[in-house]
Amino acid sequence: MSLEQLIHDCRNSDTKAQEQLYKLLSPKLFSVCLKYSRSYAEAQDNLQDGFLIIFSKIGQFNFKGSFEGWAKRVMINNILQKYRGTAVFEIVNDTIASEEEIELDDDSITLDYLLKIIQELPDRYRLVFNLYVMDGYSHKEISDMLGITTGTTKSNLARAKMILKQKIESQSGTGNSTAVNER
Amino acid sequence: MSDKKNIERLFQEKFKDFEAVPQPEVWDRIEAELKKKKKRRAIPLWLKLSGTAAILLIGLLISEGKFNSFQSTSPEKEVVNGDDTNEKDNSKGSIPATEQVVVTEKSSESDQADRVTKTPTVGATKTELARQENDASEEKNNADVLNTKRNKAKNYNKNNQLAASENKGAKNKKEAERSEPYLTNNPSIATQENKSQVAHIEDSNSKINTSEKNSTTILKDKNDVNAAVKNNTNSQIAFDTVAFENQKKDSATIAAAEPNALEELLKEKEKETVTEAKLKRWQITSNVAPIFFSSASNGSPIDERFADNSKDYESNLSYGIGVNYALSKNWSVKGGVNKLALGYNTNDIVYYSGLNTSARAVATGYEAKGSSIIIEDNVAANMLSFDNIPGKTPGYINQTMGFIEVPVELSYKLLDRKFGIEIVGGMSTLFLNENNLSVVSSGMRATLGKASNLNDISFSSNVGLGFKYRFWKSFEANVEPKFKYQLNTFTENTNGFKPYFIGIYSGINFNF
Repeated sequence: MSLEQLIHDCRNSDTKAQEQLYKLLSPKLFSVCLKYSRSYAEAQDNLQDGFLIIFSKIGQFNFKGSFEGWAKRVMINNILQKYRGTAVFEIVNDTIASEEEIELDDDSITLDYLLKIIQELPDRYRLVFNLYVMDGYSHKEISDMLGITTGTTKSNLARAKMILKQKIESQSGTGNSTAVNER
Repeated sequence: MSDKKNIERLFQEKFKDFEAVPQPEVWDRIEAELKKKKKRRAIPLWLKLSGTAAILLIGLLISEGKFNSFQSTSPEKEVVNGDDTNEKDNSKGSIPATEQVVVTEKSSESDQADRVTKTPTVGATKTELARQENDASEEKNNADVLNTKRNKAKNYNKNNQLAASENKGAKNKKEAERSEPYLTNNPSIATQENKSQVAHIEDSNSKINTSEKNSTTILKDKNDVNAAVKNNTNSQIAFDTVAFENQKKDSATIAAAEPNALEELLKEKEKETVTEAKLKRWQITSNVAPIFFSSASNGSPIDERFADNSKDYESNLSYGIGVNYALSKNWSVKGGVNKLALGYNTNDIVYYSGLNTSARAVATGYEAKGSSIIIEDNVAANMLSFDNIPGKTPGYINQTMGFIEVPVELSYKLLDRKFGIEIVGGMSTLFLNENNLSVVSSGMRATLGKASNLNDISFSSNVGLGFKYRFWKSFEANVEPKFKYQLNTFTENTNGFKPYFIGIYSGINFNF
């Protein structure tokens, strides 16, 4: 069955088609949720909410562009709604030394650990970091999405990177914690 | 191996092909939610239907002028007031901080006086809120007003004025309307409060009012303190409005859960291609409908003497063609042409032929066609015992009206699948093309002429429900029960006759 047919069936609330679409997209979208959420459990909640929105709004998809891209945007959008309100109090203006380079032992850093430290970031830092680094949004776009200034997004990004860098450096060599295997 | 790496690159590379399979329970929960939604949907559909029908009906009745007296808006106003108070309530939270700052700059005044100035600064409307929330402190405030010197009363007054202009500036007419009468109502409202404080409050309020009258002179007063206060209040007002608007904006964004910046971006990106080539906009329909004619009340357009006579309403057939144009996925406009005939009988009459057509007994609602048939209400005739008068024949008057109906309606699809439901509302223009009045008794029918009080063009307002079933790609069968209330079929003198008809329109639609 083609994706287009599947989408059509989903519009008619065909449960089988919905399940199939879920199976098709959930691995990709769940990875998005894991990156944008605070924990594995919240990621699952967000995945659930996001899919419910996708199914209810699937009629709005107009077959231009990739469906996966559309679904991902819906998913991110939903998560932003959830975490956008919880602002961290911060001083925006102090500039952070842009020490972007990091020295590390490549093998010692696992994906799980990186995911874990992303999840541990404060909400706003995590959102900005993901939107900018992982999903390639510009500072302007991010500032629009989150309702903050580009100055704030830049500062948030720098702080997020700083925290991540510190954690990676302090972790290097020690044992890895797990985030994904928490099931 | 150890090397230097950009932190962004590190994450990008690591997460490039990152996928994760969620636990199977997630799907179970989604499935459960989807099922729940399906079930839940059945009720709101009917709620929607009945809600819309109710709105349309109310509109109908209002247009009929029946409920003119109810439109005097007292309940509406109350609702508006409630909203105002809520909004004020919302905006209030952010205000006091700055007020405190502003007022403390006026070092000559006490802390309690601060509170006094604070209440009016926010706007006269807010005093009500403050009173509700904090009766005790309000009373105290009022007492303080009494205690403060005239200078403070001036400030109060000025603040009030500025607050009023703030309201106007906010383009919120209702607020302005409300705040102004409120200013003048202060004394009377104050009396509702704790009796022991009444004297003080009234004192203070009257003081305020008198100083209000002197406002022009006060405004010209170049007193340093006042000037400072003015500046401060101005900035305060600016702050207030900004805060208030922000508040509004915030709640708006929260309320509209979806329209997020991201969604907007998405829309912009895909805007050019939105034209929806898939939607077949045009639809031709044919329809046939049995028409059930009736009147909402007794009455007779023929003559008032027949108002209380029993009426038999005929069922007729209407047929026609229509065109539908889809404005969007759910909304469409319907037009068309139908042939429509309506008729009814006025029972319990007697008639006889007489020489003098201008006699009192002749019904007034029609133009006699040269004939000299005299019609009387049987009830009246009974008193004369018509049996004794030869030539008086009992029978009924038959009136038929034919129209070319041109409906213009708007429909909204509630359900659009193979089986669809929509609600339809609109109006029809009725062009009179048949007008006949005759008298009928057993075995005999005599034409009386034309009714003289029928409008050539009249209107009806229509409400209906449409059910359709798509049995072929472009073909649908539909059934639409519609209620049509005739608005000005008769020029005058209907004697309470309020005609309406119900048609069950069914036909075939063809999409293209």
